[in-house]
Amino acid sequence: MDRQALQERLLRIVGPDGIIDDPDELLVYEYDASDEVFAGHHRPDITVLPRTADQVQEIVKLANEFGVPVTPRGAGTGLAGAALAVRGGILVVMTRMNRVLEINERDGYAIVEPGVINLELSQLTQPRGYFFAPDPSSQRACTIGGNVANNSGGPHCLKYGVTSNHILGLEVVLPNGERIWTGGPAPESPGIDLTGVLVGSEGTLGIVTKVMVRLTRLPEAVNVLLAAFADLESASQATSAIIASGILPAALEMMDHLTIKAVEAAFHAGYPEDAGAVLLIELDGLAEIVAESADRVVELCRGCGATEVRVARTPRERELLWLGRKSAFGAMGRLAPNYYLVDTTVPRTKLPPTMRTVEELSREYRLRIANVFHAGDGNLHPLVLFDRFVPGEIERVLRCTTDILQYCVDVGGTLSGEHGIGLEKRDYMTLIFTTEDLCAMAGLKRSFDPRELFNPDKVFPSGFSCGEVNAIRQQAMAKRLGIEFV
Amino acid sequence: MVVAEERAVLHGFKGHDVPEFDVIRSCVHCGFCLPVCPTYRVTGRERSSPRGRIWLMKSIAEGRLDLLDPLFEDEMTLCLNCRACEAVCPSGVRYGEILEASRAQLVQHRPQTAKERLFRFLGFQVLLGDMRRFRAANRLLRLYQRSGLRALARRSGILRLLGMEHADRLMPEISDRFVVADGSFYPALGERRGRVALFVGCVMGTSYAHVHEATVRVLTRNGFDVALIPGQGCCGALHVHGGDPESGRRQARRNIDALGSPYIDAVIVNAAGCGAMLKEYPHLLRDDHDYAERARAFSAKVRDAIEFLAERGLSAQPGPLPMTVTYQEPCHLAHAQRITRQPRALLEAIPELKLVEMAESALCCGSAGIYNLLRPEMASTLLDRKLNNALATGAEAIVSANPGCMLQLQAGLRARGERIPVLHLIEVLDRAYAAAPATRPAEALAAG
Amino acid sequence: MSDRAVLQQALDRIATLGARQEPAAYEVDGLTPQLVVAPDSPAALQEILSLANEAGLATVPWGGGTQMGLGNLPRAFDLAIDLRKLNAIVQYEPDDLTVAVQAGCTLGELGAKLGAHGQMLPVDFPTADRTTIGGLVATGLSGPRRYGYGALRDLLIGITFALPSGQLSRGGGMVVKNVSGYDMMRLHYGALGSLGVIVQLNFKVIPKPRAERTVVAAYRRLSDAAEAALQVRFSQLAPTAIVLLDALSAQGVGLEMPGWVVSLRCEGPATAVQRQADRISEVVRPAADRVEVLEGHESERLWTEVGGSIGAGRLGRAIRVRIGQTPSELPRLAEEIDRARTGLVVELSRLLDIGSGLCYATLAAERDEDLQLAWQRLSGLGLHATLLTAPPGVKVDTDVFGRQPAGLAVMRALKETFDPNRILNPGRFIGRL
Ligand SMILES: Cc1cc2nc3c(=O)[nH]c(=O)nc-3n(C[C@H](O)[C@H](O)[C@H](O)COP(=O)(O)OP(=O)(O)OC[C@H]3O[C@@H](n4cnc5c(N)ncnc54)[C@H](O)[C@@H]3O)c2cc1C
Ligand code: SF4
Ligand code: SF4
Repeated sequence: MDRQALQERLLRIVGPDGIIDDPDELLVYEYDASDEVFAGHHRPDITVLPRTADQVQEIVKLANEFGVPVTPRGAGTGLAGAALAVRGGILVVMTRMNRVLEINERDGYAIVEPGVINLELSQLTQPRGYFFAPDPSSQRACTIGGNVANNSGGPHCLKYGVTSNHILGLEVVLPNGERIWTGGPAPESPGIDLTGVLVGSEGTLGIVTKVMVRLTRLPEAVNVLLAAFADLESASQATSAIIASGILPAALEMMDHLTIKAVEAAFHAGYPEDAGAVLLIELDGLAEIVAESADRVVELCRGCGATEVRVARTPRERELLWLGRKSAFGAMGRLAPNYYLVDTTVPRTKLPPTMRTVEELSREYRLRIANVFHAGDGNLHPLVLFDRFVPGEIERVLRCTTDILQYCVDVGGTLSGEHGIGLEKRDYMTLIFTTEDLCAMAGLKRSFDPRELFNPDKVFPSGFSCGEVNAIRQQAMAKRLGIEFV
Repeated sequence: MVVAEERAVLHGFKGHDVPEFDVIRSCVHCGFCLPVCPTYRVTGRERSSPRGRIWLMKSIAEGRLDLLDPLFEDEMTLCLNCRACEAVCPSGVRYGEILEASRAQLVQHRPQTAKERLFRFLGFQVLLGDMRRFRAANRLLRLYQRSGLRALARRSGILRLLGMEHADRLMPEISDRFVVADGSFYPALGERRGRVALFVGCVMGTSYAHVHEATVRVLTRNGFDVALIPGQGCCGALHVHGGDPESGRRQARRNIDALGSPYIDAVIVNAAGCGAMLKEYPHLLRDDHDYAERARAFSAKVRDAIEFLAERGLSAQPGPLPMTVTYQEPCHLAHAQRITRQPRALLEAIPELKLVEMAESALCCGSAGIYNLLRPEMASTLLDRKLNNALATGAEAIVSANPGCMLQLQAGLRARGERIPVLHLIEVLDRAYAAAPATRPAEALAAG
Repeated sequence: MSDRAVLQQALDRIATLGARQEPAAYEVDGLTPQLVVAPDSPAALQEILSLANEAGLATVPWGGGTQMGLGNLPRAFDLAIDLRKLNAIVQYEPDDLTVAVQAGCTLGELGAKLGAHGQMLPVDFPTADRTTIGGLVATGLSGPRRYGYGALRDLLIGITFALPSGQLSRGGGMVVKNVSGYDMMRLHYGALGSLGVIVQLNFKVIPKPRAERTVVAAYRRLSDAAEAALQVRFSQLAPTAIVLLDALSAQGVGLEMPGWVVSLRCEGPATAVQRQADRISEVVRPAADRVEVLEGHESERLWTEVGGSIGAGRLGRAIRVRIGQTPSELPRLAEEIDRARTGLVVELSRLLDIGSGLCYATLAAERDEDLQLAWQRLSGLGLHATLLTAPPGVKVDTDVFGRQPAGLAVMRALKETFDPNRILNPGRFIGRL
């Protein structure tokens, strides 16, 4: 690559304020929120901070011309290393494209640039009676573009669905430099659902430059309950009981003892520190119905051995309870210098045995594991705590987390519920997918990005080459030509 | 892909006041702090974010970046030390601590120009080192402001020549009276609820004497004896933030000596920056045999006036004050001391007063100690943003609780030709009391 | 060997894998296949596909045949693969609210099984006993209940599909929240079987509401009716479906009411449903001529009929067009549609899915030319328009998927990758893929 020439051309596109090529400054783009022990450091060759979709398009065209890899990045809160420029090249940071372009109150949607911060969109639409339902715990910092790329979830996704359910359309710059709109405010755009395919593709199929999101009406009433239990087991039972009762809470979150302690130290959210586990349950909807369901939920929790059930009375109390939950991962820094977060989903009914297994593995590997998770959809997040300077710990962590993943897969679960595969989990993909499965996905990738310049080395296992896909294609082409000749 | 398995040898940092590596690596780079960081919000560059700055420190500690890399110094000075990042950090990274240590490192290891040395000497040793000298200098300044000399200097362009134009604009109006820690004692009115010492400080004592007076009135009205104990000095914050912790320690010892009396219930501070500093003496003096323990006892008693009143509750009912105000959070109150609810609770306790929240109320106004002198560009960008947000509320007054912020806001308003006043929260309370019937039976009010 | 011979040989071999007798029953827009085969296992399907692929047989995967009105005229039609023998409910976990079902299972069969455990998929079609799950997903049809529960697309958590090469691939899994790998479910949803043959689908299912009521309100004027419907949509009330029908449409679903009719469905626990229906009635009453509340079976029946008037089944001498438009603009669209038939002898009925933002217009006429012209005019309205069903004569020289979307090049590339020999539904999908 002719670096000099590339730099100059980029400079012309984004201006001196939009390009970073000083290797020292590039140091601060070699990480995201994933643990560096496992993700490593990956310094891009050049970072650009475009302000418009036109600039993004020019950048991508240029990358094509020079044949250099492109990696999109939002706020860098991703936990799977998906925003790391593993093969160097151009890192496209989207945070400066942060305008809310349109809010359509009547029809309940908004058009935003991808750098808009998740929470800020909800704050902006709240006075108009709307919110953006996907609420990852990182919502104070992460971008809508990142949410789209990772199909992020959050506590309220239990009732409202994940990001994918809230994206109506996308403007995207494809790897070949073409810029298109997919979807739109009315459903069922004809043809292949490219919007649906792009959501969750972790920035490997294009750069999103505008997002049309569905806004959700604020519920008439909200009620947050905190139920304390002696252990995870009884809290899990309460979870099942609530779901089985036909009540669909807006959120149903669980935290174990270790997490409660860390969170209390950080924010004094008022969680009972002696509890073995707590459930945070939010109910919303029409006032009378919420009140009724709340009574029923209290009953169910008591029936499963809740030692205490509290109701947040004021918005402030509610906020505090949520703040504790939403800061839980970050608060792990108070317990140990490093943590490895395993994000997996198991069928809801498999939660109790899975929790038991996690506990056993924690003992077996002599590693502290904190648990905080979206119990309602069986999406668990064991946080394995460690210190990378303690000899041998890293290996134990690796073995422990692999065992956890393997167990989850064995009981019908999956690798990642919401954080994505990225760099970190790509080598686990073969635990759940066969070569045929992966080849079909590789086919999808190639259809968008035949030169494989977009966010390379993500999602697919290292060294994965889908010779098969190529073989099929070549065979098929020959055949067709043959037929034409006859 | 496994990085550095063995404990990194600390490369770049050396000497005294080394940023603690365990604090640096308690950052899990989650990015939660980015949106609250004023410099990041303005530049959008990761290097100007808390996470980026911590990573730079880490890179130095791990030997991947040179301590004297201009990038590092630039970031360490561009940071406002507003500590908004600390307040939202779920991991509890003690950012202020490692920032100040990093600055101390730069002062230690970086060759300084003669001008810088002179500035430091004049500022930190001569002026702030002794309160008598500080007041004398202030009297001169007052003369400068009132005598027509200033007008002359402004017209003549000499200020621009001296590179002092900006400093002049920001210069506080010096009051005609100073509050001096001279041993005065003001007894409680009504039922006595305790005894407190007022921390006088530097700028508050000269430019904001009226705020001190208001503080004394409000405290006595609420049943507290107030003592102005002699021997106290500057809090030392400017020294510590400026990379000169040693001078800061000198000030700290002196204040502990003066105010460490067992006979007072609390040391009351009405400048958020000073309060935050006084509360951090235990860290500053952690390696000082004689003072470490005393610093802990001392700091445990330090309270911001707002914090104190909210904690103990108002025993006297304020009178009505029919006005609309907006509240600007001083960083060192909101972030360093995490005092955010109490000011609002006190304002809400005043009948007929309406509080309208401004957007980004917790974003730094760009004052940050002497920052506006060092990084005028960033400071004025932030000031503009702040004033826009404040004025958008349509409030009749901006309420704050720190002299630095108040100066900055006043200067900005003046430059825009805006007339709305900037008031200290205690002043507002004082006015409300002035509007209350004097002999009203005391009823305990729960605030906060 | 000649082309013909290769073809015949492939057909002969495929026939041994489960040939069926009545090719005439598998007509697509006037074409009938040379062979119909009904594999009874995924393995058999794989083999059939790879044989068909090698020989380049124009292949149409066949479900219940109830939505065959959708699609462009096929370029050719050699082989129909009837999937109804692949109809197992592979795994049902009521406590996890998940089910895995083979593509050939009918909506009715699956519904019965789920219903026994108080669960459901929120789609209603009168042809439930014939409509297969695979067919529904391939055509991407979802009813007005998508407003309350999401479209089927939103409930899909896993998929298994066979590629023309014979390769069997999966995406997703059996958990309700999953971001491992690309979303292959959405790739195939609504792709009309043009990228692969759907073998199995995994869904998250929904607890069947314990009660339901439908508020029906009639208005003389469209604007009043629309205003009422939009007002509910804009409120914090939470009906699961909101539709607006013109008189003819209303008649079609068994509502004998004049003017414009708004129907709003409430589902949930009995008391909640009652309150919700009461509050909705209050909102819609002021300008209404008549307000009625249907309960239980009566309500359910209405919505099944509604499902019938939005499907893509063959209609004889009529066409049905689906037009997307934002909910607040739908009333205006309804009027535009009316105007569009000026000068044509067509009978028009309109159903507006106010909850979701779709309009279904059904137009009947004696002459193909009238229908053709009607479609031509309608195809330019709204944000997008699809000719859901039409007599073959009307489909000549048009793309039933309407205007070409910006992503057509990517769609072409996808087709090229997955079905390079173009054996799956050749010519029938968008852009004649
Ligand atoms: C403490 C903490 C808690 C978290 N909690 C949750 C949670 O509850 N739920 C959850 O789902 N996630 C959670 N996350 C993970 C993370 O915040 C989300 O994945 C988030 O969506 C990432 O957004 P980002 O803007 O930081 O994206 P980045 O991390 O910068 O990037 C993530 C991916 O998006 C791609 N990308 C970014 N912008 C674009 C664009 N415009 N176009 C195309 N691709 C783009 C990148 O290439 C990368 O693949 C958490 C993270 C942290 C640190
Ligand atoms: S919030 Fe704390 S842990 Fe997270 S990046 Fe900022 S300083 Fe680091
Ligand atoms: S102290 Fe303020 S300016 Fe400095 S990094 Fe933290 S938030 Fe940013």
